[in-house]
Amino acid sequence: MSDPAPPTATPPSQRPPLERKRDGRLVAGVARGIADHLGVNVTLVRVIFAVLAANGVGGLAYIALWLLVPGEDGSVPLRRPRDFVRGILGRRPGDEPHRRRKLIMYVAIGAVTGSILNATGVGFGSHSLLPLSVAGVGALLIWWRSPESQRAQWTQDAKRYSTKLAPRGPLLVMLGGVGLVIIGVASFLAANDALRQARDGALAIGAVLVGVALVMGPWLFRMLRDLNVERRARIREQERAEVAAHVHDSVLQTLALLQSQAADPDAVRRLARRQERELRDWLYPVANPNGSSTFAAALRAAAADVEDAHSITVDVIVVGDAPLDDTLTATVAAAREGMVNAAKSSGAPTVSVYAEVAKDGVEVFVRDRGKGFDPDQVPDDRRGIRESIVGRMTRHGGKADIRSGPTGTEVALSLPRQART
Amino acid sequence: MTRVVLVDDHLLVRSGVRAEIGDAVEVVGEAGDVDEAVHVIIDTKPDVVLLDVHLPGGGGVEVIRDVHAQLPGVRFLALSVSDAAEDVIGVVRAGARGYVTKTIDGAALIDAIRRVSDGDAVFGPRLAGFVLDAFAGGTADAVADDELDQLTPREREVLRLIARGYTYREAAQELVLSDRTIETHVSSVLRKLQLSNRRELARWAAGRRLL
Repeated sequence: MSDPAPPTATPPSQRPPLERKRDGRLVAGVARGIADHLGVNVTLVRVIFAVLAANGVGGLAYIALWLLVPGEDGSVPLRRPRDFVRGILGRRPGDEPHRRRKLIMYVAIGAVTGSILNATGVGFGSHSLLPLSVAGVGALLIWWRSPESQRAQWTQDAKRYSTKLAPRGPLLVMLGGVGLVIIGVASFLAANDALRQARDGALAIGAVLVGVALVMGPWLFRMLRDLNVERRARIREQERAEVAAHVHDSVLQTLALLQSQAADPDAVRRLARRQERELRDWLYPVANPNGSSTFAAALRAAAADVEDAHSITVDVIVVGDAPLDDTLTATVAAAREGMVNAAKSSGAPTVSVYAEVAKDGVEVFVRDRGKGFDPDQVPDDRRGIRESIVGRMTRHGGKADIRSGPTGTEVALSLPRQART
Repeated sequence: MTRVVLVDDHLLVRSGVRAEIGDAVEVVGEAGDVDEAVHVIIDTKPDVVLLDVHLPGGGGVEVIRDVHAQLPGVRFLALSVSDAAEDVIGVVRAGARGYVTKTIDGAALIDAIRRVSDGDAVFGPRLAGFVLDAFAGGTADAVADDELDQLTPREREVLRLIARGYTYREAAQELVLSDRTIETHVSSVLRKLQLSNRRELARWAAGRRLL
């Protein structure tokens, strides 16, 4: 069942007790009582009785229920044989309207069913009457002895089956027809050759199986569903445990560290930033089918390293992506130098990195809003810019452009695509 | 003074933001979930709503939808810690006029609120990057003939500068344009972002079932 809502057992008090009804009876109010108890249409119950009466089971069951089921005050009792005749022929206030006409109709249904069965040679012969009755009584006993909540669940399940078959009327009639045809053909074959002797046994076995299926089916179904619910709950619990473990290992640890290092703002910022990055990676993983060997992933990793090493914030924005190759690795390395340079000498708290991988080439911009410098007056011992950035890009067929002024520095790296292939 | 409503489910964030912007704008209301937010906004009719993307009760997108159904004039500026494209694009496509992260400093936030209240769009580097990503690939799309489905070269240039960390003013200087022209380009991009049916946008929107 895809329905995640826990099955709500109908409170026992909501179901009317099984008792024979005084009002709206045809014979003794048994069918009406069953219908009220199960919450199904009374006509359906009566038709089932009538059809089963074709071979006697329905009649026997009806009389048994008449005897066993307690009657509502004023309902027709069955204490003496003449109560039976009086119940059928007598007229009482509160009877079902057109009672006799309906009674005759149900008798007709039973008779027609019986003659059809006889004519087709199916007839639940006297040999199969016993097993059928036994199965029926068994099912009845199980029903009767089950706790009320279990019964409620069974009828609920049964109703769910039937609502699933909506529009059920025509479909059920058709299925029933198909079933009758199959039984008829099978029995016809069985009746006309050596299988004949096996027929009664097969019918009895079939009847028992059907009875068992009817009784056990809802229970099995329910057990499977309970298992399913349980499994889902277990999966949820596992997920929750995983989240808790992650939060504990990362966030809680970092928070503890933050408290112990509260006096050192640099350390606090670095810790917070690293935790933020890690949590983001976990919450919003960057789709990356080829492992981590893409340009964007490498650039982000480089930025993370610089953040950690220099307690600075590096915002990385990458548009497009490409698999990492030698020239792209060199570009990432050059960009990294740019970030390190900004972190070391600009004095700005954040560095913006923007990279774009397009059809015709790759561009990376590393920008800070620091104090800037004059690229031409960098002392020779700081080879970072000249060698690691400009030289590296030139060697790989790209170029680096460094603009610096009082409002900050921007390192622009570009690498034409043709150079990479 | 610009009248502002703060919508965020974290009290701490609300008081932090209010402390930062309270002198420059008038905070007329606060809310912590979708229903409360819709109520407060309808009641106070603010110029700008600072809106968190993730909210109990349906998220910022729901707030924008519900409010715009009754008061189409209210302007929203999304304020979030989320970097996920579907969050950012989703809330903008629902009708927010901009997106800034919660790490933004007070002055920049006040500037962004003013700009949204003037009817302009506020694109930070992250949003600009997402838009460039979504509109990358030029005319490869079959439906890309539509003017809405492409950025002009100028719009692309402006967005790239914003993604590189330039302010609007710096971008204007760089391109030798007026500030106003930059605003116009960004607003035009916002319109395309909200109305275009490009596959990438649809995909992001579908991630949050916003189609």
